[in-house]
Amino acid sequence: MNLDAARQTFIVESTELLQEMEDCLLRLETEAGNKDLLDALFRTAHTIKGSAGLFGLDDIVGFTHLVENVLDKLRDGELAYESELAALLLECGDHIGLHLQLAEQNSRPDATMREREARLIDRLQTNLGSNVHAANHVAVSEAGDIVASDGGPGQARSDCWHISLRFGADVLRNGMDPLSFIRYLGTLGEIAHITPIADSLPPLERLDAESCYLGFEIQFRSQATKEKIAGVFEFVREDSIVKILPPKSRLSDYVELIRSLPEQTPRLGELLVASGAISQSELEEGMRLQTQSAGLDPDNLSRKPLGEILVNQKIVPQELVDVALSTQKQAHEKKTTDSQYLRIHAGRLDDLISLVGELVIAGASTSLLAQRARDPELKESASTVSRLVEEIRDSALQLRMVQIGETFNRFQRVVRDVSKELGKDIQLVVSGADAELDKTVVARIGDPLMHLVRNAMDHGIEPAAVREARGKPAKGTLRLNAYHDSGSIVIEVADDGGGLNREKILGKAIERGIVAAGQTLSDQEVYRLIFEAGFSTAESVTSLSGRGVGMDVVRRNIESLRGTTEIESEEGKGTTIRIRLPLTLAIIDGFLMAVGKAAYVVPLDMVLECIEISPAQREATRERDYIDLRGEVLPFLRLREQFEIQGPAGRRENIVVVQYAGQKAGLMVDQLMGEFQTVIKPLGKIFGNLRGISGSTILSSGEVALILDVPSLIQQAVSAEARQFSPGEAMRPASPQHADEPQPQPSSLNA
Amino acid sequence: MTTKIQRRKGHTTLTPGSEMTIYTASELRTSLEGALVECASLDVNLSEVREIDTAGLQLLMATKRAARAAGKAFCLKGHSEPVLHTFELCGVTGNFDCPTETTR
Repeated sequence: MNLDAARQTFIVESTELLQEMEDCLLRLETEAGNKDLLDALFRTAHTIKGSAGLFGLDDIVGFTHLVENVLDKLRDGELAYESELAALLLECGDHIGLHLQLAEQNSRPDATMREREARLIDRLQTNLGSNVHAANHVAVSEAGDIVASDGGPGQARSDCWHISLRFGADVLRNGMDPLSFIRYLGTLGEIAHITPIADSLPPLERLDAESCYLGFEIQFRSQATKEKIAGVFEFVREDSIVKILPPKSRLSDYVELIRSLPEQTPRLGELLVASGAISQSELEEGMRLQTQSAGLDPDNLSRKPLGEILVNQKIVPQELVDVALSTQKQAHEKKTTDSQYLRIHAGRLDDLISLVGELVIAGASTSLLAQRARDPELKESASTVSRLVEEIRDSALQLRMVQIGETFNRFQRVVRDVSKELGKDIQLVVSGADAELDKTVVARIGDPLMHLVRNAMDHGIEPAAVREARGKPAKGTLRLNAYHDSGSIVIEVADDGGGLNREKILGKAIERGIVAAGQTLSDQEVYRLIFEAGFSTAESVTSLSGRGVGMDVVRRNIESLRGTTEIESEEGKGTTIRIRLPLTLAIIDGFLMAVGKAAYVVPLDMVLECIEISPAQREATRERDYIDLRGEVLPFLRLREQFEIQGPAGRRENIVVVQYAGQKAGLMVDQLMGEFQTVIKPLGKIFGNLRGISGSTILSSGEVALILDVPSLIQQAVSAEARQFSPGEAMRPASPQHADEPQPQPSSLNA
Repeated sequence: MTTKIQRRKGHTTLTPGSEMTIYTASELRTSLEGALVECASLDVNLSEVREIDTAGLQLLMATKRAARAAGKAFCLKGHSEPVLHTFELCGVTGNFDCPTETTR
């Protein structure tokens, strides 16, 4: 087995577990005392500790063990879940996360981290209170060593060691007979009870007679030390499971044991006997009663569960039955989820997608050839193939789709922490969490969203006093929403705070020389200024935001995903920032058109209609850049001029009307060539500064077509039109990036 | 000592040799499987067994399961001293629900 791969899996899974742990901690704040959550919480820490132990990550094991102890006390109700403890546990979760990162890089914690860890351990031990001694003891040895003195509730009554053995398949072939170990064990004490476990024994015809399939549950009465007992199984320790519980162990240790055993759906009875909490005869008594009560009451078809009877008879504590039952249930649930999800390496998925991309291109070329061959049968078969290719493309892309909910949920923690830090009471409301988008987009939207959320909390939402004075509820609300809209996904970050102050932003912009004084700007234009580099209107710089770095980075990040941002704000009511992103980055349905010999593609979702320009209209539009579209002014761009294509205009010209984020514009082209499945190939770095082009694709003929960047073209067309009609100067370019632009077109903010 | 098989009117008695260990387990498995297919009820006579290990033990367990699944009677007979000791050691005496009778 490749240990590195296993280690990678461990890190991925533990990171997921940490996330789950965090979710549980946050939910516990509102659902105090929820037993399921407490159990889940304990389980996450326990699993991380256990798996870390497998990889010899002693730092994680030691630290997590303390956390686990606190969680255990929490679960038993010995500790109350207060905000201080919550904060501590969240911090501990982060700390384990750091450890995991280090483990991934194969590096060791540095001095600062050690110091932090020491402080956390101090705080954890304060919470463990009188048990500081026990905790210290545990930190050096292992769980299960704790031998409590009396058999109170929560402790097993048995005075025996409990030994669980599951032998590795090769034990026999390696010349060792498990029976000889048991025989030897017998010399150290008395085997009070032994149960063979043959659950993994295959049917006779498939039995490999030389493999070992057996395991044993042993109740062992002895004065020997744990080391001595463990020593018996020294030779098989490596490839077998050997679990040893001391006499009168806490029930929770039995719980761990039951959970850690490999049997999938262990019979409840077997588990209870195996736990040593009840004897075989007590179990049989329970069984007899179960049959009897069903027999006495023939109308009652549903037999009382064995567990319930055992509890009623006071033979076994309810807690242990719950555990045994939940293990059974988990085993069952695990099976169902196992079959629902498959963990795949992201690289393989990418390979598949890029192959599908090639398939789309090859398919398109085949269709073209079939068209030319004028063979109806070939044509039909080619069209079937291309329909299938389309379906494959859609389902391949679907594989990469993930719900945005997980990303949103991360913000529960952020909102909680930041609101504490700011001393504001803010709740996060999430909606549209099931909207799906490409995994790569999700991965890259996290940071920009983080900025927006922090910004909204810091600058957007006012302090409680101000809110009350304005007649708003003291508790601020932050909303995260997502929905699909014409081939894009829209993500909204909305707050019910003070809204953007138009005058203040404008004043600042003029002061910084971004906008010339006396210039008239629309609200949108003013609001967009907050995305400028180094722009901040906050009076005070806090640790969170206000330094003016961030918003321009947000905009740049979103633009690099071919997305756009939009701001809606009402003074006193709040601000909504809307991010519009393409659903996927790999393949789109495109609309193909030509100017001269060059081919261009626009995303089909953005095409509204195509208009043929009549000679009369052509004459009329010669001098202006807009047409009358059913009584509406439609600005347009001549692609021929835009891309400086040589040669005379075509005999007929067409205008393709495109729409993006509520704005329309026309693109004048020579020829319309119809729909085209477009595999987006990024442009090389050298073309990174080209405006109006977002990528390239390969046509079925092998030629290259450029993919137009519709949002920026629309902006150009709209602002050119606005300039024609506004008497004032064109305003300064909106961003430094635009200012550096060598393109001759004057650019400005969109209207 | 090798395995002996006696058939009488659909009732088969299989007597393993002195060794029921990993060294003979594979061979014995084939015999047991074959015997079970042909018979209506199967007895395994353990009187000759001088040595039995985990491999032998799990083989008996699997055979018992297979017999039960096929709806055939299965019984262990004539447990020798070593077999009895091993059964007791592993707590399987109760698992083979037929009288534990010894040859002696």
